[in-house]
Amino acid sequence: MSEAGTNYINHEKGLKSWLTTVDHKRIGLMYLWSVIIFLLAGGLFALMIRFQLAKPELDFISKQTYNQAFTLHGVIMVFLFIIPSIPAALGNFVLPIQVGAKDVAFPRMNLASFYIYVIGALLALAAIILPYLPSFQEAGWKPLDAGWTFYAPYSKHTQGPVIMMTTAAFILGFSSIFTGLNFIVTIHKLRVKGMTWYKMPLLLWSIYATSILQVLATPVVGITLLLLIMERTLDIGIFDPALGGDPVLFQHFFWFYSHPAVYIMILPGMGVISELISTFSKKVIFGYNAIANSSIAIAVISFFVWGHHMFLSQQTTYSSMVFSFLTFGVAIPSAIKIFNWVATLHRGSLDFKTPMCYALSFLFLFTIGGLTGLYLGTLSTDVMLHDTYFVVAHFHYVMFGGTAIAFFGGLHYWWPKMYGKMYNETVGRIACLIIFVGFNITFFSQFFLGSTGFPRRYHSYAGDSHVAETWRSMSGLSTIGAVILGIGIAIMFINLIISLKTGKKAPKNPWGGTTLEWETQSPPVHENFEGDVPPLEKAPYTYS
Amino acid sequence: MSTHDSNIEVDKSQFLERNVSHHFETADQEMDSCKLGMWLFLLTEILLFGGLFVAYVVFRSWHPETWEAGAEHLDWKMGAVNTGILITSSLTMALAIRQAQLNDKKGTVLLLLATVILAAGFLVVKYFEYGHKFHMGIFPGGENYMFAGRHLSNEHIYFSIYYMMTGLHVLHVIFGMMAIIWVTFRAAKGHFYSAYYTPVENVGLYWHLVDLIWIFLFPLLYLTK
Amino acid sequence: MANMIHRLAFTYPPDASTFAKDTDSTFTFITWVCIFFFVLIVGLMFYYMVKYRRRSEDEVTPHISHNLALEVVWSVVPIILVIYMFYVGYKAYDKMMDPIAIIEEVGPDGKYIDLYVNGKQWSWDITYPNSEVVNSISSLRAMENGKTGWKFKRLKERLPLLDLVDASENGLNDAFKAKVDEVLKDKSIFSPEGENADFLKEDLPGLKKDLEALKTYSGDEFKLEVKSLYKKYSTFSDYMTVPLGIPVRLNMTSNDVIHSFAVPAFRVKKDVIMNRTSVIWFKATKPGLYIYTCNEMCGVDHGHMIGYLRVVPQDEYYKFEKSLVGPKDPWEEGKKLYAACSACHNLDGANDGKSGPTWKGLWGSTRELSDGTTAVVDEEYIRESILQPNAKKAKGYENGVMPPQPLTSAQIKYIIKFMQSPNQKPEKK
Repeated sequence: MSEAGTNYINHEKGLKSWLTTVDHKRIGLMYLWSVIIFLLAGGLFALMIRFQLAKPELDFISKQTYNQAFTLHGVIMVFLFIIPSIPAALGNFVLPIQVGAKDVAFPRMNLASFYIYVIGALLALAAIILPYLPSFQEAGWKPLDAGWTFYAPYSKHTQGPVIMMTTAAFILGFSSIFTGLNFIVTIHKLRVKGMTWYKMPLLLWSIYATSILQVLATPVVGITLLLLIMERTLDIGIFDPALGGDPVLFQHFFWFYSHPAVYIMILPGMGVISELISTFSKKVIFGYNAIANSSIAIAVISFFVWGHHMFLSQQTTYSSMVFSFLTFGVAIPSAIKIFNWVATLHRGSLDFKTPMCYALSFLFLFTIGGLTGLYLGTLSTDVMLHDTYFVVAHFHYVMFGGTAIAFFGGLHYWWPKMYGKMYNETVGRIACLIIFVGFNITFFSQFFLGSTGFPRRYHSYAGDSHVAETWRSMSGLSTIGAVILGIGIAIMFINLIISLKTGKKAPKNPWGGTTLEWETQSPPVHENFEGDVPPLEKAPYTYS
Repeated sequence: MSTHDSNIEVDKSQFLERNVSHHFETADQEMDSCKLGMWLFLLTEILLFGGLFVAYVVFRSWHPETWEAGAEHLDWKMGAVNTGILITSSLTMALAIRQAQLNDKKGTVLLLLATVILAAGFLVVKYFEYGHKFHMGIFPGGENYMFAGRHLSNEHIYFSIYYMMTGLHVLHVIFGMMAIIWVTFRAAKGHFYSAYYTPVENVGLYWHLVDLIWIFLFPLLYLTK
Repeated sequence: MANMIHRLAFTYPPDASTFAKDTDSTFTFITWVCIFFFVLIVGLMFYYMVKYRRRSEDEVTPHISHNLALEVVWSVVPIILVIYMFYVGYKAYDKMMDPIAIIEEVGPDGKYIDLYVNGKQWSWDITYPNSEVVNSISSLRAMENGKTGWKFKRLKERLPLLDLVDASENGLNDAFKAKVDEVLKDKSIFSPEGENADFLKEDLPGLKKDLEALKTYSGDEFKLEVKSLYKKYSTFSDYMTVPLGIPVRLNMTSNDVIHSFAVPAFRVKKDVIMNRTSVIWFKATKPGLYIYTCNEMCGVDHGHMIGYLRVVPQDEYYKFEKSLVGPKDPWEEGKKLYAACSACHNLDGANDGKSGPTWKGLWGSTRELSDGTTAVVDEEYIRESILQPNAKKAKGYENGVMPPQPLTSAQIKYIIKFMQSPNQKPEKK
C-alpha cells in the first residue's frame, strides 16, 4: 500500500536514483528527453538545408557544410530520434502498464539499453563535433558527408569520422535490439491473466511487430557497418570496386536492414493511432483483427522488399521485378489499416482534443505518404523519380507526417499519465494546426521538385534550366513551410513544458480510455498498480 | 526435465536460496522469460553471422578458383582438432547444467572449468593458425594478402572473409569464456541448485551456438578443396 | 490553351523521348488513383469530423467491431489496382533497361548511335563515335568559367527568347522591344566585373549591335534571327549533343565512386559504377535544350554535376560529330597504349610464358572461355575485358591475373583500332 500522493516520480529523489533506476517509467522519461533533444538538433540541420536551398545559387553555407548538414540530419533523425522515439520513450512507459505488469521482463537490461543509447549518442556527437576542432582539421579530417546511407565506395575514401559514426550506429543498434528483445518477452510472458493475444491493446500488437523487426534486422546493419569499418581500415576489398569488391553488395546489406527499419519506425506510430482514434471517437476500433494481423504481415513482408531502393543500381531486371511486386504487397496491409481507422470514426463521438488533432493529421499525412509510395514502387516511374526530391517528400510524409506526428499525438495523450499534469488544450491544438500547415507547405512542394527532376543532396541549383521556374518557386515555398513547421514544433514543446509547472492536476482517466494504464493514478505509483491487477474480462476499446 | 519447484527444500549449507524478482509472479514465469530472452538474443547472433555467410556465398560464386586456392593455406587438421575441442566443450557444458540440476555443486564447477579450459585450447590452436599466416604475410597489409599480379586474383577477398568470420567467432568464444567464468564463480558460491539454474542454462545455450557456428565455419572454410 | 494547362500542371519535365509517353501515362494513372483514394479517405474523414463531432458527454456509440465484406472489398480493389501499376511499370522498365531493345526503335536505315559516358568527380565525359573525349562541363561550373550555354548569365532570364519564338506569330511587339531595351541598360551584362570580365567584355559590342538589330525584325526572319543570336552567344561544344529521331545508347561507367546519370526530359536514369558498364538508351522526339543530372551522392561537387544536353536535327548532329577534334591518328595512339599491355600480351603468338592471351588474330575471332561457352571478340568484348577482366576468362587463363584497367572510352577505342591490325598500320581510306 502506498501513501497518498506518492508516485514513481517522488518515490525516490535525487539524481542517483534516476541514473540507477530500473523503473521502466523513469527509463522511458530519460529516453523521452533524449529523443526530443535529438529531434531539435536534427531539425536545426534541416533548417540549414532549407535556408541554403531557398533560392538558386545561394552560398548560405559552403558545399562541404551542406553535405555534412544532410548527412547529420539523416543520421540524427533516423538513429537518435525516430527509431527510439515511440518504442523506447512512450513504449517503455506505457507497455508494462498496458500489459498489467509491474515492469518489463528485464528491467536491468532496460537500463543497460538506455546507457548503450547514451554511449552511442555521445560517440555520434563526437563524430559531428570533432572535425571542427583545429587539431583534427590538421590531420585532414573533414566533416561527415557521405549521406546517412554511407554508400561505398565513397564512404570508404572520404576522409572524416566515418568509422566513429558507424561505430556509434553499431552501438545504437544494440540498444534497439535489447529494447525489442525486452518487449517481446514482456508481451509473451507478462500479460495479465485473461489478456489473450487478441485481447491486447493494438499498441502492443504494433510494438510486438516492431520488436521482431528490431531483433531480426538490426544485427544485419551491425555486420554491414563492421564490414565497412574493415574495408576502410584494412582494405579487405569487399565493397571497393578498385579492389575487386562489389559496391552493390553494400547496398544490399544496408537496405536489408534499413528497409525493415522504416517499418520499425512506422509500426509503433500506427499502434498509437489505433489507441487515439478509438479513445477520442469513444468507439470500438473497427477491424481489430485486421489491424492486428496486418501489423504482423507488414513485419514479415518488409524483409523482402529492400531492393526497391536499388532499382537503378544495376541489379537485374528480374530482381527489380520481384522487389517491385513484393513492395506493392507490403502496401496493402497499410492501406487496410487506414480504411479501418476511418471506419472507426463512422458514427463515433468525436472529441477534438489535442491528441485527436494529431491522429487526424496522421490520417491525412500518412495517406499522402503511402499513396506517393506507389510511384516509387512502380518501376518505370521510379526511374524518373529515384534520388530526386520526390523520394524526399514521400519519406518525410511517412516518417514525419506518420511516425513523428503519431509520436506527438501519443506524447499529448500520455502526458497527463506520465506527469499528472494537463497542458493547455487551446495552445496544443493551435500548435498542431501550425505544424500541419507548415508540414504540408514544406513537403508537398517537394513532390513537384522531384517530378521535374531536382536531384537529392544538391548544394545549390541554377536558375536557368527549362524547369528553373518550378524549382525556384517550389524550393522557396518549401523553405517558408519549414520555418512555419519549426515555429509549430517550438510552440508545442513550450506548451508541454509549461504544463509541468502550471498545468492542472490530471485525473486518472482524462480521456475516457479503456486500456489498463487509465485505471491507475496519474502519475502511476512505483509498482504501476496499487495492489494486484484483477484478471482482464473485457476486450479493449469496449465503451458500451 | 524438471523446472523450478518452489516446494523443493534448498540445502542452505551449500546453496544460497534465491527469491523470484519482484516483477515476476512465479519462478516459472521468470525462468520461461529468461529462456525466451536468451533464444531471441541467439537469433540476433545468427543474423549477425548470417551477413558474413551471405558475403561468403556471393564472393565464392564469383571466384570459385580463389576459394579452392585459398583453402590450401588452411590446415584442415588443425580445424578438425578445433572442431573436436568445441564439441567436447559443449558436452561438458551440457553436463554442467545437468549437475546443477542435481544439486552437485562440485560437479557443476568442475565441468564449467573444463569447458573454459577447452575453450582456451581452441584459442591456442587458433593462435598457432593465425601466427602461421602472419608469418607468411597473409594478413591485411601483409605482402601476400593481396596477391595482385601473382597467379591468382582476388585472393585477398578469400582471406578477408576468412579473417572476418573466424575473427568474429573468436571474439564470441572469448565473450563466452568470460560468461562461463562468471557463472563458475557464482556456482562456487552456491547460487545454483535444482530450483534455480537459469544463468547456467542460458550461458550453455550461448555456448552451444558458438559451437554450432564453428561447425558451419569449419567445412565452409577448411574443406573446400 | 492546352499548352498553358500543361505548363500550369508543372509536374513533368518536357516529354522529349519515346519513353516519356509511357512513363507519363503511368504517372498520370497513379495520380488519378491517388486523387481518388485521397478524396475518399480525407473526404470521409472531414465529413465524419463534422457529422459525428461530440455534442454531449453521454453520447453512446454503436458497437460496430468489424465487417468482413468491407475488409474484402477494400483489400481486393487496391490489389487489382496495384497489380496493374506493377505490370505497366515493369513492362516499360524492362524495355528501358534492356540494351538490345534499342533495335526495336531504329528507323528503316537501322541506325543507332553508341555514346560513351564516363562519370567522375565531378563532371561527365561524353565520347562520341570516332572522336576524342568531349568534356561536358556542369552548368554551375560553366558559369563560373564563363563558358556556358548562355555566355551572359542574366541574358536568358531577361530575354526568354525561346519562349517568344514559340509563342509569337509576328515576332515583334512593344513588350518585347521594351525587354530588349531593358537588357541594353543592364549593367550586370554590359559592365561585367570579376574573374571573367575580360572574357565577357570581348563580345559586348557585338551583342549590343545584335540586340539593336533584333528590334527591327519581324515574322519568320525574326525567328531566324533569334535562333542565330542564340547560337552565336553560346558555346555548343560544352553541351552533350544527341540527334533527333535516331536511337542513342549510352554506355556508361565511373572512374571512381558511384554516380548516376539521368535525363529527366527523357525519363531515363541509371547508376554508374567503376569497372562496370551500365547501359541506358533513348530516342529523342523533340529538339531543344534539356538538363542531365547526377543522382547519387558523390562528394563535394555532386550538385555541380548538372549539365546541358541538346537535341538537334540529324544533319546538324552529324556535322557536330565531324567537327569534334579526334586524335591525329587513333592507331598510333593505340600503339602507344599497347606498350603497357605488352608485358602480358604478345603480338606474334609465340608461347614464351606470357600471362595473357596473344593478340595475334584476336580481333573478330571466336574465343573459348573458361566456363565452356564461347564469345566473339568484338568491341563490347574487348571493352569488358579491359574494364572487368575477370568477367569472362579465356580458356587456359582461369587464374585471372589481369587487374582491371581504368581506361577512358576514347583510349579503349584507340586500343581496339590498334588491335584490329596490330602488326601493320592500316591504309588511310
